[in-house]
Order: sequence, then C-alpha cells, then structure tokens
Amino acid sequence: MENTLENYIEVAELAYREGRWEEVNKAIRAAQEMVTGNEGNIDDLIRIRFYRIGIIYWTMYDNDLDIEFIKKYSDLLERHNTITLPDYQLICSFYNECPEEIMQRALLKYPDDLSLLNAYAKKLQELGQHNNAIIILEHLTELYPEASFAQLMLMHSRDQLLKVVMEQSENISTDEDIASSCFDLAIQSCNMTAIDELKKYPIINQQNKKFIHLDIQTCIYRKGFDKVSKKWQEGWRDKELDFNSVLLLANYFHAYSAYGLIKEVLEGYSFTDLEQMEQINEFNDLAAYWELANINKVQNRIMYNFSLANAYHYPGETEKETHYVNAGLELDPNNAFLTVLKSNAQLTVDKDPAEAYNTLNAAHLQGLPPKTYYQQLTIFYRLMADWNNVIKTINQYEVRNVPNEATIFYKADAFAHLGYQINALECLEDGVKYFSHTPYIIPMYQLGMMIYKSQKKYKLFFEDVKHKLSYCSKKGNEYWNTINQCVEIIFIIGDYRRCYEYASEAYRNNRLHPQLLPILQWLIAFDYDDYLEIPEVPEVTNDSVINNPQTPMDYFGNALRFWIMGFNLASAQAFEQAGDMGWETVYCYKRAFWRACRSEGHEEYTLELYDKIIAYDPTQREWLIDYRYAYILYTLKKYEQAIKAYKMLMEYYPNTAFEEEKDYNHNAAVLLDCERNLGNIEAATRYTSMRMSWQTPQKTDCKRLQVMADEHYPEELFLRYNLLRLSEEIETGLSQNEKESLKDIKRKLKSEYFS
Amino acid sequence: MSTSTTEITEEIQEQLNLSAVLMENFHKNIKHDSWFGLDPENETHKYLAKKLLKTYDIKSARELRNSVYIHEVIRKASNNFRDIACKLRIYSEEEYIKLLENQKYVIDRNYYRIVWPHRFSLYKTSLAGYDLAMAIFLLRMGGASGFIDETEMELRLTDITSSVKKIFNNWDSFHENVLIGHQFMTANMASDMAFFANSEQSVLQSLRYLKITNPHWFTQW
Repeated sequence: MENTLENYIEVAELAYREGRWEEVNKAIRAAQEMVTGNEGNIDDLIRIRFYRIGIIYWTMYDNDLDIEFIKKYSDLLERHNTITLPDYQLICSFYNECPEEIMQRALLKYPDDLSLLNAYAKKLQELGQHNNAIIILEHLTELYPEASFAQLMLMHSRDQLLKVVMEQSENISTDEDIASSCFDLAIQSCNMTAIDELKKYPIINQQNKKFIHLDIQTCIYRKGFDKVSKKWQEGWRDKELDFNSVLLLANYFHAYSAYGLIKEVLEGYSFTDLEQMEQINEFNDLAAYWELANINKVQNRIMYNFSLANAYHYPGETEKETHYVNAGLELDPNNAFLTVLKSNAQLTVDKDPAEAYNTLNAAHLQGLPPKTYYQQLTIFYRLMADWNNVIKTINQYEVRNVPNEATIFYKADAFAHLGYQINALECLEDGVKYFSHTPYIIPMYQLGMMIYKSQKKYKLFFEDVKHKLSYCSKKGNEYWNTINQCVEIIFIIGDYRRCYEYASEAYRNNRLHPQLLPILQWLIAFDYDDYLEIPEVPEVTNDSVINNPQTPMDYFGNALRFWIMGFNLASAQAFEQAGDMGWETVYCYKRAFWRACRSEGHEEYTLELYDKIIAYDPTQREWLIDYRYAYILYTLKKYEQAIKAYKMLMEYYPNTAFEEEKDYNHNAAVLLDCERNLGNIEAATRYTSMRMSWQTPQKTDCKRLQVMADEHYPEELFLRYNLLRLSEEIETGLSQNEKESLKDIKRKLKSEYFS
Repeated sequence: MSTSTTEITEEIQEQLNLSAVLMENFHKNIKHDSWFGLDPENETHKYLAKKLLKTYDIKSARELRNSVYIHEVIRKASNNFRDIACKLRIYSEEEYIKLLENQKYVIDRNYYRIVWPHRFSLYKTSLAGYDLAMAIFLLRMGGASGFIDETEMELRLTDITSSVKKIFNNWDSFHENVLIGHQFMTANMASDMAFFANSEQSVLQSLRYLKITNPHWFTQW
C-alpha cells in the first residue's frame, strides 16, 4: 500500500472503529506530518476527513485541542456544504471555544437536536444570557422529557436570572410585574430563600394563583395525603387554579390511588389548539419557534391525558380510558407510559394477551426502564395467572433492584398458587418482618392464613388471623370480611368455641354474613351450654330452608338447618351436594357420611358416600369413618367385604386397632363371626384359638370352641377332652350331656392309650 | 466508637450531601444529617441496605471496599459510558440508526440512545460525578449494613470529595452529571411521570425535594 495521506486516514479510521489505538496514533502522526506546512496542496475533502478523525482521536485524551483545528475544520465543511449533524454536534460540543455564529447556523439547520440545544444553552449560560437559555431549555425539555439534566439546567438558569433581577432592579417591592415574575422564577427553581423574602412584600397578592400553587406544593411536601385532600375539598376546589397546580394535585392523588379526586380535579378542563410555526428562515425566527413549546406545553397535555386515563382505568370505565390514552398517544406516539396503559386496556378489555404483551414490549423499546418494565410484566403475568413467569420476572427484577413489598407479595402469591408453600412462607417471612408499615401487610397475612390452613397448622393460622385483624379497622369491611372468613374456616376445623366467639361478635355488630347464620344457629343448638350472653338468633324452621339453593354455601346452610331440625337424611344429601360442587369436598362428604349413619335404613347410601370419600382423596381416610364403614358392612351381613374392611383397619391403623388388650379380642371376635358365618371353620378355629390364648379366656369363647370341636372334629378325642376339661375348670358349667360325653371320652382314651 | 468521630460538622455534611440525591431517590424518609442516612439499628433499614448492596454483589466489608474502589478510582460507570461514546463518536447518523435497529436487547438500545447526544460533550468528564456520588452512596449503605464505621467513612469521604472538587466547579454541573449517570445506569428513556416526592420518584424530583426541604444546601461549592 502506498504511503499516501488518504491511505493513512483510511487506516486510522478503520483502526479507530476496531479500537486499535496504537495504530490510530501512528497513522494520524504520519498523516499530520504530511499535512503540516502543505495544506494548500491537499484536496479539501481529504483534509476534512483528516481533521475529523484527528479531532475525534485527540479529544479522547486530556490534551488541550488546538481551537485552530476546529475552526479550519468547520470552515472547510461549510465551504463545501457537506456538513452533517454529527459534525455540528462535534464542533458545538466545544461550546466555550466554538463561535456563536456556527452554533446558530447549526441550530437553524437542526432546531430540534438535543446535543446542539444543550451546547447552545450551556454557551448562553456561560455568557450570562439566562433569558435566552431558559427559552431554549424549555423547548428542549418539552421535546425530550426524559432529559432530566436539562430540567436541572433550567432550574439553574432561572435561579441565576432571579439573582440578577433581584440584585439589579430596585423597585421589586413596588413594581407588581417584576415582583410576580420573580416569584414565578423562585417557585420554579425551588429557591426557598428567595420565596421567603418575596412573600414579605405586600405587593404579592396572597390570593394569587401562584401563591396557591406554592401553598399546594408546601402542603404536599410537608403534610400527608389526608391534609392535602381536606384542603382540596375545603379551599382549593372553589378557587381558580393554575394548570400546573391542577396537574400537581392530580399527580399527587394518582400516587395515592384517589381516582375520584383526580377526576374532580382534572375534568372540565379544555385546551386550545396547538399552535404551529410556518417556516423558519432566519435565526431570529427560531426564538419564536422555541417559545411555542412554552405556549403549547405538550408534556402537560400528555400528563393530563395520562392521569385521566389512569383514573378511568381502575373503576373500569373503559371507553373514556381509551379516549384519553389515544388522545395522549396522538400528541406523543412514543410515550412509554401511555403505551403501558394501552397494553393494560388490551389485556383487560379486549382480552387479547398476545397483543398486550407486544404493546408492553413496544413500550420497553420506546424507553421504559427495565425496572418499570419488569414491574408491568409482573402485573401482566399475574392477570394471566401465569405463575411461573411471575416468579421468573420478579427474580430478574431483583437482580438489579431492591425487592419491595409488592414484589415480595407477588412472589409469595405465585409460589402459593404453584403449591410451593414453603417457598411462599419464606417470602412472607421477609415481607411481614420488614414491610409491616405498607398496605401490603394485610394481603400478606391473608396469604399466610390460607397457607397455614391448608397445611393444617392451626396455631400459626390463628396467629396470622390475630396479626391481620390488628392491622384492620373495626369500621372497615376488611375486618369483618376476615371475621366471616374465619367463622367458616374455624367451623370446618372444628374449634367450635373460638368459632362461636367470632360468629357471635360479628352477629352482635350486624356484620355476620347471612350465609353463615346457620353456623351460629348450629353452634347454639348443639355445642356447649356454657356460652355466655347468647345472642338472640332466629329459630330454624322449615321456612328458613332455602328452597332453590344455587351456591355450595346455600347447600351447606341447608344441611346445617336440616341437621338442627333432625332430618338426618336430608342433611346428608345437602352436604353431599355442597361437596359435589367442590366446596370443602372432603369435609362435606364426611359430614354427609355421619348424617347418613344416623338415619336408619339408609346403610347402602352410607356405603356409597364412603366410596365417594375414598375415590375423591384416599389420603383423607380417618379411623372413625373406616371403622364405622367396616361395622356397617358387618351389620349388613356382607361378611366378605367386612373381613376385608377389618383387615384394612388393622393394616392402616395398627396403633389404634390394637391399642388395648380388649381390641385384639374385639377384632378377632368380629372376624371369627364373619368367618364362621361364611363357613370357613379352619379360619374360625384359628381366631377362636387366638382369643383362647389369653390367660383367662372368656367363657363364651371356650364354650363356642368346645361346641365347634364336638360338631366338626368328633374324632379328635384329646382336643375334645381338653376343651371339656377347660370348660369345667373355668366354671362354665357343663350340661348333663356334656358331662356324660366327658366321661365317655375319658373312658375311651383310657382304654385306647393307657391300658 | 468515640464520640468525636460521630459528630457531623458542616464540612462533613457537605461531603455527605454529594450522595444526598441518590439516597433520597433510593428511599424516602432518609435522615440526611446522619452518617449513613439509614439507621443501622432499624431492621427494615438494615434489610434494605443489605438488599441494595446485594444488587451490587456486595456481601462483606471486603467486597464493599472493592466496589467503592471500583467506583472511586477505576470509575466503572464512566468507563462503560466512555466505551460506548468512543464507539459512537465516529458513527454517522445513518450508521447510528442502523446500529439501534440491529440491537437484540432493548437495554442496549437504550444505552446507545442515552449516550448519543452526550458522546462529544461528556467525553472528558464522562460520568465521574455519578461514580463518586455512587462511591459515597455505597459507603453509607455499607455503614447502615454494619460493614464499616464512621472513622473509616470520614477518611474516605475526604478523598472522594477532593476528587469531586477537582473535576466539577459547582453543584449544578455535578448534579447534572449524577442525573445523566443515573439515567444511563437505569437505562431509562421514559419521561418522568411524577411531579413530587414519592417512593418511585425520579432523581430530579428527589433533588427538587431536597432543595425545598434544605434551602441552604447545594449553594456553596
């Protein structure tokens, strides 16, 4: 390759793109040697390229760049009319050195560019022209609302301007215009010292809109939500407010989810049409163009639409919500927060999750920060009931962000839905410990209650109930909802005394849910007699039964009413219905089983119910029910099934089945009876022998065995002899015939074996 | 801990204030006139501080000191910013737009969009202000988690403050840098939707809040 200037520049450019700095350095040095002192002979376009790479490279280090280079560079570019936006950005970034004319020319060509506006504003600030800087920065912040640094520059400029005005003008205290504009600047730049000073001047009208704005601001910063809303209701709503103050209030109410107040604040506000600028020919036109931003205040209009769309989203007024979202997006199609609202509407109103997901991603693409994106995505997946993804998203969120009460609760909730109760409890432990001051504490305890209930850890369950109630007010619905929920749960648990406490407390306060009244009636009818101050509960009659029950709770209530009135079969059937509908199925079936047991003549139905319980959940078997089942089979003389059932009892409940000595006898007796009735003499003998193996066998057993031996084994003389002797010994008493046969056997044995 | 070190003089308060905006943005009801902002005795505060440090992979005093070093001396955020700026400086507008379209991850796209307007103007200082403010912020969080004590804080604060004073001339240029740094690190290209101080507040609103509640701060450099 030839060592021409062009080649050097090409090498340098390529090396720069690939980050090989030594090579860049070498090539640029070589090129510089060729350029120095030889500038007249080199093609302008090549010189432009040389200067560009040179400036870019040299400014990488702290070396002070020769301002001559920049001047030459910009002159060349402008002469050839090849100057592009990045060139201007590069030149204008040296705002101290760059001549103002170049900046103005650049802005005339690109009046909306962030870097150029920023550089020019900085230059004006350096020059002390804060008036002009404010106009430019206002335009900038309207165009680029995400550029918060520009807001700070704006505050700085206003502050400086305020200082200048207050120092220079002598008649602040008498000239209303100057005083009020100073007051404006002071409010906007948050200069509290100046505000305090200006407040003292009587010329500033205390009823002024600006004064009210200040009042609102201080109230918001210093006082709480209650005070602000009270002041709005009492004073501010009747006064004429600045639009800024209105937005500030709406924004504040939005943070506290007071949607009614947002509507009150914002509704009825109308806008004039946006003003347009026709053409910009000279730099002087630009000032007017930039001032448009201050007149139109597009961001405020977007805020207005955003707040109202939110206010209509939660109460579910979807049409109005869509209207405001669309109006906002018309003003700025790239507003990420409005796009999020659009996504919400697509999910909840149009029921189109795929589209909603795409819109949410579009919002992310528009610049939604990852933190907010993950929060929104979590809410999206929660609405979709996609619990695995909820957990995944929150884990991603927590890589770079500190968990807050919402993420902790959502995670625990998702774990609980997936059945990972231990993980859910772990999350809740953190949440309850560290976020007890947040509104999420109530749902957290609620979730804990439900988990402990399903784990059957009732002690912990009641602890959570206690905690939850301590956070609820007795005036609010949440408190009584919890109590009602507890009445239902505790009744099923079987802690009747506590259930009565809750139910009677709610009943006395007129807050007991009507569906739960039968529970209270049942408790008073059947449970302990030592309840104090029993409230007057209406009596259960045939009229109080719900005639066409719909919900499982209706059936459950009916079942309890029938039970109180003593209609066991009807009660059983109602319980069965409630269970069939999927409400506490096992509990209802078991209750139905016991009710059916109490109604004579419906043993077959009872057996059916038992099969239902076992088919629904075999792990829910219970000794008493299984025992009863076996016993019913025995009484129905279904011996084969009964034998199976009793053997199953011994198999499943070895401890209970053989708890006491007499239980052995009992089980053996039933089995013996079944076997004998089936004609299995060998098995029957075995069970009888088993019963006989005790130190003091029962008389009946002895007798029975002896009779059986006589009947079925007349040849076994020794056996018969022993049994007869035994009967005689334990004083069963032998009949005359038996005495005869004992003598007979004795004689035979003597003659056959001992003669 | 002796009582002499726990006393906060006006000078130390000013040094602590370098991180005030980040503190206020992190959590509301920060006690700005204390060493650590958060109360190490308060369980919730300790939990928050520990969780925050965990997001920076800090689980011990050693790791805390490493991270502070990374921000204070190596200038991690500044380097990231400069890497991207360096790449973008030679790009033409068409190349830049093409680059944005080819990004696989949205977050990278946001990084490029944030750096693009500042690639020339912020090249030299880069995000030094943010890095140094972050170093103080991490130190205070470390103190709240019980990793370091006031004596060490005081020594380190002096060092960091002298670096800040070398680079910036006034509070506003420093805060401007912090704002851009925070925007860059959170990859946030969305507008503020909050006008006042709440828990999800923006850094700008935090600064505004601080200016209102403490009018005498951020005036003398």
